Amino acid sequence: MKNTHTLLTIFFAIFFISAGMVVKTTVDQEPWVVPGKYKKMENPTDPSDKEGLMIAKRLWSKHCKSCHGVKGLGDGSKAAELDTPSGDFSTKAFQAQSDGELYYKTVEGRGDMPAYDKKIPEEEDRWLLVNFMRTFGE
Amino acid sequence: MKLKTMITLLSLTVGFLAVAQEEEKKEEKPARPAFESQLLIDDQTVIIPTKNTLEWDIQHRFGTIDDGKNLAGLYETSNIRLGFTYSVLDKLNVGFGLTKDRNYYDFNAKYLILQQTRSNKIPVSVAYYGLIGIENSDRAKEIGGFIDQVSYFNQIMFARRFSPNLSLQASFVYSHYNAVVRWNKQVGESYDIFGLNVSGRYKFSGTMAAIFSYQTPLNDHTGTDVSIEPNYTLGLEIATSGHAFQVFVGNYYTLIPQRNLAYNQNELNSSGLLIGFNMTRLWNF
Repeated sequence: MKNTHTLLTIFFAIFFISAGMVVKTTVDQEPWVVPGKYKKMENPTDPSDKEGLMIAKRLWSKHCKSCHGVKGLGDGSKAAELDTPSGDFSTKAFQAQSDGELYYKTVEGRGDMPAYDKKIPEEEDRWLLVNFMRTFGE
Repeated sequence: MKLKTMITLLSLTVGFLAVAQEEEKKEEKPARPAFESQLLIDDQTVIIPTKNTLEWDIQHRFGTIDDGKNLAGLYETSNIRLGFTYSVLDKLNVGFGLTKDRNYYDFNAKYLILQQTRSNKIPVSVAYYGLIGIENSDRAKEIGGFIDQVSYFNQIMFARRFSPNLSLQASFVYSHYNAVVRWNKQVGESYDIFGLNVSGRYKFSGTMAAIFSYQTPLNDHTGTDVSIEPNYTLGLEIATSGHAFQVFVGNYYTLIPQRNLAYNQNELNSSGLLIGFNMTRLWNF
């Protein structure tokens, strides 16, 4: 009986240590190739428009926040469930991308990241969202 | 010199027309959606998800709150409707549903007639909603043949998004029963009941909003002193990318709109009020 108890204790100890190791494992993002046409696209909206930023903030809360977090740090409530890390939008590397690249990734999606072409049908709203992502780098 | 002036004037005119046309195009953009979901408590909204979207609706109503001994109605008999709608076009969707209370099944359709524009040239969105309900309970089968089990609901909705936070909607509704159901052993002889719905939402964050709905009949059954009770509902809505969740307190128990309009007996008190919730899930194809 005592042996069984010891065995079970060892089993659970190994199980939880292993689980902890799995949770700590992270996967780097694969390079995301954006077609040249999108890279050069110009954002038709005004990034300083306060009303536009307010609309974009609400879109962010509804569609993006659960994975990307309130401030785009990739720490949303669902982030831990993703196979691919959702990235830190405040970094220089992220902000160095063109507006068109961010637009493309938002609309087309990839892997864990869904395509938002149907959920955000208004083109203007997608660009406003790009403007909002720029505020994470400030 | 004259020719040069003419060319300049012509260029300016063409340029002006092009700008004006561009502005007109900009102005005629449709307003952003007035509501988060096709459902607002017990009311329909002018919202139709984009073409090729499937929506699953789960509507749940607990029993009446009464004296609180049944845990505010949670332990009472509840009513559930499972519905599916599919957007065939951006302005048209069709659906069906199954309801626990009285074993209803229904077929419905909604068409967006007019869409509010940002320029306010069209100040409101206008939509039509129609539902055919078939009561499949043993009691309904005793009344007569299939045609007697059928009832209809029609709604014409006028909605306006006043600001990113505030949207209101008013609707005229009409129900018709092929066979009038008798209740309280008194004869209710009106096959047709008309009504008015007023619903709205006020967003106070990116995902949360306070919601309300008021639905009242405009005529009553003849041949009986039992009157139809209006519905007063207040609740909270949480919307995410693919879901809308609404929890509320109101006094409509059934989930078939014509039954609510023509036969609601729940009053605005603890023996009439109940807790309910709606959940919607969207899939885009």
